[in-house]
Amino acid sequence: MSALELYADVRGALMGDAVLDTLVTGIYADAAPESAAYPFVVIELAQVAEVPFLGNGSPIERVVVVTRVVDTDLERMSRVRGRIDDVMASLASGEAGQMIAVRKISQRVDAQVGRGTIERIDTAEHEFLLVPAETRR
Amino acid sequence: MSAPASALRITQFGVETTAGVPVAANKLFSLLSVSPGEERTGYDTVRQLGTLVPVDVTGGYRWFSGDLEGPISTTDMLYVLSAAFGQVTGTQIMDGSTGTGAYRYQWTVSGNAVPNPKTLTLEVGQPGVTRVRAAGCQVTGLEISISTGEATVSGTVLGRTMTVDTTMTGSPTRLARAAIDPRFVYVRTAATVAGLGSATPLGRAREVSFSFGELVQAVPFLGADAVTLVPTADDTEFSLTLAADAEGRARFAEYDAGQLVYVRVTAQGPVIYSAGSTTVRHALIVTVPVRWSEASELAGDDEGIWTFELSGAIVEDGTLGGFAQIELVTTLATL
Repeated sequence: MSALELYADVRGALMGDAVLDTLVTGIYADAAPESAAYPFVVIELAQVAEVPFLGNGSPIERVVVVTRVVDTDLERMSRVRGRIDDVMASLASGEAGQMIAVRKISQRVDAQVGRGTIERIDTAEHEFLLVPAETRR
Repeated sequence: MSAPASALRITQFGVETTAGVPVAANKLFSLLSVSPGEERTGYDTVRQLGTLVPVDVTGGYRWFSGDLEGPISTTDMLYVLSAAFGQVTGTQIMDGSTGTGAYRYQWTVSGNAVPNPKTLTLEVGQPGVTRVRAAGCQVTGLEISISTGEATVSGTVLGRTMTVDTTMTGSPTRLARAAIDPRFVYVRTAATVAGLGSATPLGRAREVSFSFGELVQAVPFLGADAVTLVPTADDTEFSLTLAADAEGRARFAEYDAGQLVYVRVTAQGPVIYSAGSTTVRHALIVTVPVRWSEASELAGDDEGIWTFELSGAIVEDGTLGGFAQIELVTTLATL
């Protein structure tokens, strides 16, 4: 599994989740259209980096995926965030034995003026660690 | 006249024939630097009843104490190790009957033997501005640290005497740079010294460090014109940071069992010689017997990797013949 395949899988898992579908009006990759109605989710691939080991041991790939929940209602945002975290955690068991860990490494809520109102953006980073299947131990 | 600039301060050295007798500092470290400093005993302020401020300062002894630090280069390490553990003779590594141009130096360092470091004359300064010269310099407090990002050495340079003037030794020769590459650093552990030869390198090591302790101290004697550097006992430490997987668990099992573990770190740099299947690289190879004394970190987070950090004492060991075997492969034929 490559980082891009992982990113596609994460997007697919979020977009295909029936519970999340009932909570939001849309889930978008990278940017939401101007017409998107609250609440909606934007998902981004924030970082792909190799974690090396001494002696050129097989590196582990670190992938950080950012999700932004955009809404005006904090309680509704909280329910969306909770469901996203559940979906992310469900990916930890891995696919093809390659994904070894997932965890939320940061979360914050910002407010900004948008579309004539105060909208709030709940931003969270989830970290995934990937290891080539042949070197998994 | 040039302005004194920290960025232009250079470190030159020469190898002394007679310990403490200054020589021309005709070499430049390839990557290391020394920041000069002073230690002293005496020089106390004298107070006297009847006056509100000190009336005098006593005499005393002063000596050079500099901080050595920088990336590891095998050429620099030849002099650093000689100034810490003594001079050894290099042997050229041969490829059949062909000389490779690589020379192997080996130190077996024992805590039961009186060390006999090769002393250096050190000059730290800026040509035409200021020179701090120290003679009879030895290296102590040697620390070697290697991670996936850098390989560094640090220590304390103690010198018996120190002068401050202006004239640096002219036209010093810079040692060739031969820095360690973390991609060619291999960490092996085994229950026996012989087992290290066939041990598979750890695949998930992130960082290792050796600390050999302050094994020399400056001691003044009455009537002497300078301090004497004498051996002293101190703690040693080895630490290893590695992923909390099978390799990390194995180290923890050794810690649980109180097992003596031999650790060998082979840290390599640029290729010196390559012909057919023979490749010789610059290398620093350190073998130490370790007893783990602390699981100093069981919840480490290193770029998202869950890591263990285990620390232990580097101990004197009869099988190894000391507390460290250090091998250096470099291009210098002599000191």
